[in-house]
Amino acid sequence: MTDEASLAPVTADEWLTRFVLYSRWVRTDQTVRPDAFIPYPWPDLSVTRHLGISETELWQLGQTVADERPTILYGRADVQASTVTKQSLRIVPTPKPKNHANITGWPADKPSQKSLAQELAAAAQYVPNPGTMMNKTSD
Amino acid sequence: MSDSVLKADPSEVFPPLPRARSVNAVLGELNGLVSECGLPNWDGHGARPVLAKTIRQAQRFVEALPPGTRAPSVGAEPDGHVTLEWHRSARQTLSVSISPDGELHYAALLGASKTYGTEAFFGDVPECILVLISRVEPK
Repeated sequence: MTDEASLAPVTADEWLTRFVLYSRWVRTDQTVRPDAFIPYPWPDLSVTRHLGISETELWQLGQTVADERPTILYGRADVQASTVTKQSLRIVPTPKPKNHANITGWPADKPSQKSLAQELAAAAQYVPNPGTMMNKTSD
Repeated sequence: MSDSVLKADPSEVFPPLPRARSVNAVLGELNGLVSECGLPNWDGHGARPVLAKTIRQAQRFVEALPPGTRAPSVGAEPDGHVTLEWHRSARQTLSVSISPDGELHYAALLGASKTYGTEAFFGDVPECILVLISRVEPK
């Protein structure tokens, strides 16, 4: 997919990834804590679209994010676009980096953000990084 | 009460509650946040550092929990807040964010219902948060 193509409107059945670079964002039961979905720097939450790329490419994009810090790419929290829009949030594709989008429309107050983040986390699926030998997680 | 009991080491008659160990473990984990989240961009998405004073606020909060309260798990959010979570399932979960200034932002999913808000922390755990902990904890 070209960068321009990744600006295509997001459909309800599309999957989005929030890369997990902090071990405490994942519980020991391999579910995702809402902390991973708190929008900061507000007002956007950075995600990567699965559209038109392979699993391998998706992990490579995550690794690029991890290498910039550098830190460990523990895994990814996947949510379906419909889960996001059901919370009255919007998904806005951006030209760069590849397949990037922002989840926008967050309320300004922290408790409301937390409540929405809990809804996203409750529906999220955690996928551990197959390239990481150890995936230490929180309780 | 027999003489032997009266002369016994109090710690043998009244052994430390299991909770004491849990609280100590949580306090230790909170100390660990300094090294895990003490620098900008610790999450790879532009996070704000978790400050020492935020960790101290969280430790005061944990120490103020009533005896017998299940110990929470520890986390951090990209805005630099410390989180304490009581989690039973995806829709039976409570998260409390502690800000550097001692504000407590909480959100809970309780089955089909949800609740969220902000309380100030002045040394005592607010009653509404204690009620939410009791609703999430296993009976």
